[in-house]
Amino acid sequence: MAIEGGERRTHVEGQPQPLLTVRSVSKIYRMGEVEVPALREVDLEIREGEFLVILGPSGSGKSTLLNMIGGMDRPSSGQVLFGEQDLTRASDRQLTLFRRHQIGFVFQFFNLVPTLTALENVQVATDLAREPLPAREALRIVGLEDRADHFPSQLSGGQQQRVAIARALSANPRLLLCDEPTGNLDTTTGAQVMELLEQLNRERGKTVVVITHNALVSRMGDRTAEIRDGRIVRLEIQPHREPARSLPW
Amino acid sequence: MRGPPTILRSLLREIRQRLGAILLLGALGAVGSGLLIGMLAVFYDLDASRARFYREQRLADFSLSLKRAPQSALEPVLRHPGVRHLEGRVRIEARVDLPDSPEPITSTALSLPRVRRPVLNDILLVSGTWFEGSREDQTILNDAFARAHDLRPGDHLEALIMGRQQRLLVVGTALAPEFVYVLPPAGGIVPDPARTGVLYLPLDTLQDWSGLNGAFNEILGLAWDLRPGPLRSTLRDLERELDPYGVTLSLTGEELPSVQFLDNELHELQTSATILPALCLGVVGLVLHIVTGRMVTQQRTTIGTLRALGYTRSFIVRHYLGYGLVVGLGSALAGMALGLWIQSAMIRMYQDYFELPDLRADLYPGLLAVALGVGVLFAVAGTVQAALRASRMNPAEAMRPPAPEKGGRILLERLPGLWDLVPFWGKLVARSIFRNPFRSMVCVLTTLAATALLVESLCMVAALHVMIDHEFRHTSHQDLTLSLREPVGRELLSELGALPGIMAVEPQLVVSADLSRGAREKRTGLTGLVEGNRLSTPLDQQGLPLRIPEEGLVLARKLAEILDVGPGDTLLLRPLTGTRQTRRAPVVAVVDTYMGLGAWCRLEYLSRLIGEEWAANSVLLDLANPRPERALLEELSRRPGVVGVEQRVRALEKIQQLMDQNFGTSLLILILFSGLLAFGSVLNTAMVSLEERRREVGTLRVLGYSPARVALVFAAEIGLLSAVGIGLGLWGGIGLVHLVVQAYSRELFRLPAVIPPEALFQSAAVMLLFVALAQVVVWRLVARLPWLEVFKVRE
Ligand SMILES: Nc1ncnc2c1ncn2[C@@H]1O[C@H](COP(=O)(O)OP(=O)(O)OP(=O)(O)O)[C@@H](O)[C@H]1O
Ligand SMILES: [Mg+2]
Repeated sequence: MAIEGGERRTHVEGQPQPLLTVRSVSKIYRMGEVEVPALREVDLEIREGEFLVILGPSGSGKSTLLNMIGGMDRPSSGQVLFGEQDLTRASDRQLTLFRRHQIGFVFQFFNLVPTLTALENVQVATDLAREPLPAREALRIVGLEDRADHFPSQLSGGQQQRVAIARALSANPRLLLCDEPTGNLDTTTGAQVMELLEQLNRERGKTVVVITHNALVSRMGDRTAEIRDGRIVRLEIQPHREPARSLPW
Repeated sequence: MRGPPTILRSLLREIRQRLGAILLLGALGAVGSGLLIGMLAVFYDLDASRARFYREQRLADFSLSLKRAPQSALEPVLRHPGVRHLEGRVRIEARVDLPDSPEPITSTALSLPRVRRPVLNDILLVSGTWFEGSREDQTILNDAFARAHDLRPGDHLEALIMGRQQRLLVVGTALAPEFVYVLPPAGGIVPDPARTGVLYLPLDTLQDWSGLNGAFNEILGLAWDLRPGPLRSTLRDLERELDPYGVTLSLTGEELPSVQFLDNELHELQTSATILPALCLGVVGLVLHIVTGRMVTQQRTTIGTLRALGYTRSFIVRHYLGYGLVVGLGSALAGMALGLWIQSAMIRMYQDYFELPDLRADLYPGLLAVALGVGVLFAVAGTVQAALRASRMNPAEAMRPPAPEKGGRILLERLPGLWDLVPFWGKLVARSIFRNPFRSMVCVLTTLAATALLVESLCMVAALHVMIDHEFRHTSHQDLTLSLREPVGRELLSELGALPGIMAVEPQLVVSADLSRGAREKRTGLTGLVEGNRLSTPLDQQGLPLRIPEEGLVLARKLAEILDVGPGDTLLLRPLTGTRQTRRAPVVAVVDTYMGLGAWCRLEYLSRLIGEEWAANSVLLDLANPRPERALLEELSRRPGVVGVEQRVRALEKIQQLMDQNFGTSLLILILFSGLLAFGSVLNTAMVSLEERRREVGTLRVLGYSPARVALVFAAEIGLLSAVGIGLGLWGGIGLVHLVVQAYSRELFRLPAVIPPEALFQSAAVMLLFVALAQVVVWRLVARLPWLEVFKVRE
């Protein structure tokens, strides 16, 4: 199956290839009688190697969209294509394998397993990966190799988030999906985390999608999709990305 | 995947964090598996040993006692289509005099062929040899009796057989399938090997001494069809055919007291081997259900994260089933060790209790495998629901911040007036109880079951004490009972009354008889009492003495029901001694007694029924000194016709000794068992509640509450639940007593449903003690809770 194939990224000159395509996706949550439309006919392309920022106020449908992209949930209508593969038709097991091999998630609340050390939390992901980064190497990249044996409760929020990034990174996915990765961090720590993501995108060529409600973040991305009420209302390309370090956090 | 997945470590750490609780649960499971293995293994051991013994020593399918049947009488009977094989033997009463026993010992002399050949009810030689040569004066003794008196092959003993004093050489000692449980022939319900002599003598010798030359007075046989119905009907045919030879008693193999006792014991063992383990393992399953259910709720984000990382549904299922598997496997393995120990301990006890050859603790790999399977099954079953729920969580859903904990106002809150009166901590307690109805219910049910079990056991012991008191203190008042071989006239009484040290003499006549009315028929013992009876006063269940009319019978309720008669009806009565002529006898009264098949009448009336004017076959004596002097005992036992002299005090002591021995340990074990059950379940409820409310605990601690104050909230929760459980358990126990009494209400006697208040108090006290222990543990847990960390990590 194509998604399992884990094909290495091919660098195409000129226009980057769409890695993943969202085609008129809607998501309606049903809560008894009430229907909550969280996404309405959203179209979006994620290009190989780009840094995409999804911007929007709370409740606008950002997380819902990210879940569709990451194969965590299925849309009510529309299609999500990963290369040629239609994720909306994939079986539960195929989606699981897709997440396992292609996606790295970073969550707002870090979501580390409290009973595992930092290193082990990373190993939870490398255990499954086909060509993982060594867990220690991943921790080194996020600058936490000396905290490998600490439990989450012994780490600060920023450190926990960096472990979570190391975990997302270590499975060597093509696509990093980050849902408000700085939402629970102070500005300085937040800036460090954003720098780290930028570095992964620039130096390791990871495709990064970052959800935020902080408009400042848009300035460091290749493109910004602004979402409101479940619709993409604006899609903007930044010709000149600003380095995270230079932004007035 | 390379090596064991890292996430397993989290499983192991969680297990280590909850080690106390898991060990406790494991211990409960181990007790369950251990009891299952131990008791069933003992059951198999006993059953195998018994089956082997009955088969190899050829236990007869039936026996008939008669006056005298020549060899030739057997031939026509053998042609009966139901009969496979017949043998005759001689059984007579004997009196053994031993230097270490003041009174003579009522014994049974049984014939065996002089030259060894296989016979029915054969013996298994334990020491010595078979009879040698043509000497008359040699005997083989039953081994338990020989051991009790330290008699060995080569020793001599004095016995009075058919009025002749004999000095016999002991040539061997043996076990016999008809005497596995050695009940004294003089009566009693507990084994007393020292008072239970069985002497085997060569057939010709015994025939010679008893005037039965070429004849027998007992017939043993094998039948083709062993189902109770056909066997009974075959026996009835034989009784009719052999009637001219004076049949006095017919028994199927299963009716032999020893066989019956062993059967009952095995039956009870099997029942306990099912109920107790099921109780333990059931509680383990329920508690695991609660604990893992809570875990899954708590770990929903971890589950979502794992799913997001690409772990499959089936992996999640296996992860949570892992808890069940670890607890189940661990406890089953510990249960195996415990079970093997229980088995060997119980077998050692039974070796003293039953005279079975080759009773040993065997290893049953199949049983071990089944117990392992059952232990794991219960534990895994307890985790299945949580595991499936975890796997069914939609990963996106699981990642969302959890919906606020089951909000919903509990019923109490809808009664504003009342709710406002409840103090702050009371509200916490009430919410916790009613928002987790399943957990609360399990806690109540386990304490209920444990309490009921305890109440039932204490009441059963009390019932036995009541029975014993009834029999030995209220019904019988004599110090000595003389049994006579043949009914005698009044002369003996005056003779005995004249002896020094004898205060009162009271005759009795006990006769076996067939009672019938229409198609209904029952064989029972009739007791004839003299007017103004003082030494033996049969009582009804209210403790009032039975009033015996001049003419006619008083029947126990059960017997009256079997025969379908009431006062005013007339029965046909055929005594099995004397003239053996069928008479008509009116039923005068029906009474409720503990002895289910009792029938009473005047001694004079009964004498006439057997064709005598006045006869007695036992004499009750009241002595100046309840512990008779040796001289008196010797004087009494030397009288002709006396086959047994029994002391009431001694029989009572024997029973009490057995009760203290057996019930002491079983009660202790039961108390520990119930305690562990309650302790385990109560503590687990508290721990789950504690885990669920770590934040609440943290908040209270931040606000400056002491650990003890915080623990109070949990103490109140489990205190309330277990109080309800104990309260209901007392009720349940009373119900259980009635149920058990009903189930055990056999024909021979019925247990009284006694519910002494002490039993209720003691049960409640024991349970409260164990609940209090659990409270102490909870308090320590609260004190040790790292409450600051509660706020650091989002779970
Ligand atoms: N499982 C669900 N059931 C019902 N409604 C839902 C569910 N998940 C999301 N919604 C609704 O869908 C809408 C979009 O939710 P979503 O979580 O995508 O918002 P968001 O942009 O990520 O907001 P935030 O910035 O607060 O995280 C919201 O109105 C939310 O209430
Ligand atoms: Mg969101």
